[in-house]
Amino acid sequence: MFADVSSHDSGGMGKSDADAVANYVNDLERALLGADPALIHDALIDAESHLRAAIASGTPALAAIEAFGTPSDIALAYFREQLSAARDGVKEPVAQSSASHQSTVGAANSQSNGGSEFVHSSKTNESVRPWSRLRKIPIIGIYFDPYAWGSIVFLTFGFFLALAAFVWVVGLGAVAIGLLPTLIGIPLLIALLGSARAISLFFGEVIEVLVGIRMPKRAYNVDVSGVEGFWRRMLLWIKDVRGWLTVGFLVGNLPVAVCFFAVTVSLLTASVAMISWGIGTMLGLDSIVTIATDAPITIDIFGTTYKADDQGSFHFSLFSSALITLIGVALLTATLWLSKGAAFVYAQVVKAIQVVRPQSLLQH
Amino acid sequence: MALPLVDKIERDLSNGTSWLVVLAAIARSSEPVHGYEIARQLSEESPEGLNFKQGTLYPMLRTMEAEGLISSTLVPSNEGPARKCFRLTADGRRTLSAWIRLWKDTDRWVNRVISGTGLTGGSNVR
Repeated sequence: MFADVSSHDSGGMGKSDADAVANYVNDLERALLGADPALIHDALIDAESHLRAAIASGTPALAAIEAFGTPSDIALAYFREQLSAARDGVKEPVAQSSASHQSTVGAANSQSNGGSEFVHSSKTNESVRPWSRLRKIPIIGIYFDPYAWGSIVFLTFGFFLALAAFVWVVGLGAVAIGLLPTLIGIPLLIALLGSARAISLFFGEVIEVLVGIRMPKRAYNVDVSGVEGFWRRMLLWIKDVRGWLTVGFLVGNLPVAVCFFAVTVSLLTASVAMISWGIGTMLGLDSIVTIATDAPITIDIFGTTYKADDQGSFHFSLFSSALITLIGVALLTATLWLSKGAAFVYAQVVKAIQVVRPQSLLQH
Repeated sequence: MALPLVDKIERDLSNGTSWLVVLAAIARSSEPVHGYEIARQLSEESPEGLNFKQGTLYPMLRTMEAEGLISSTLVPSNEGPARKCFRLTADGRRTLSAWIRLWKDTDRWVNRVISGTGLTGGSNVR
């Protein structure tokens, strides 16, 4: 998909400079092996754009690379950032996939703890957040997980974000396509692709805050440096498949967000209603279940039939009320687990769309 | 003679001071400044023998932003894609101010103690 991009001179750099940057980025990717894909994405784009900027300002490629730092040193700095985020509560998986990675993470941990000893991030979290112990209680520990509640917020309010993004993308896209014959449509199309990236990154930030999954912080930019002519630059943007994939995500995201919204709100409403209904009845409050209808309505709970009185109110036994409360609590617990799982899967999909390999690696 | 402990001391010192230096570099700029420019300035000003690794700056900036010490804006660039430029937040300014006071106190204290050793620290021990 980047065949045309490679046809120009790799962003204004000579072939040997481009090779040197690609080799460095490749080595850095290897040094970061096993880390979170979003962190690798950020680190590689940081390195690539820095080295390109340094070379463009006249620094020889090898000198720029030397000043940037060895891949292992830079990987260590990113692992330190990962550990810092873990302490702040963002769940950064400290991967254990390779021996070199373990030693690098260990070193990062050791350094950031005054060089004392290896401290696993989950232990560090415990000391900072007292409720992290409560989170480990089987099943009901979910009530003490702020990201479970955050997932519920995300799955409900995310619908409004998805709707706004859909309206923006479809609206701007329709105007841009409609104006294509007048050429004004082409810059509008670029605005659509650029704004889609920005919106997608914003989605990532919301996910990171509410769901606690590390998301990419940097958007991949189409490299148009070294390309002469406004229209040729525009063409490179339009030919970038990744941009269209992001637009597609923002359009296709709406039905997914609608489903999340409907299911989450229904489960949440049902569970809260059952809990408050049961507790209210047990506390001796007047029946909260009043159905204003003349039709004879009955409710069956485990073989016991309840009939509405003259006012349409139901009166339940203590046992039934307690049972309803318990069912409500179970449903709320299930809703929390389900929301957390759904938000996790959703976050991984968004991350997969956002994470890219740098251009220098794709060209080699 | 190579002293392995010197590497560790240098690393620990660098960990302790790099945030201070980066915050100060952002603070002294009247306009929001981008990562590459900060890295370039710090490399230029770093004393001989002290090796500031420019690549360590980016994760540091990200953590500082997450901590609320700096904020960023995207500024269009003639040389390529829009650049993320940083400025100090009010919190960042207060933190930097406190840190500078701490640094000056530490500097005075350390200098007072080491001046009694009779060592100049002039020779390269690494």
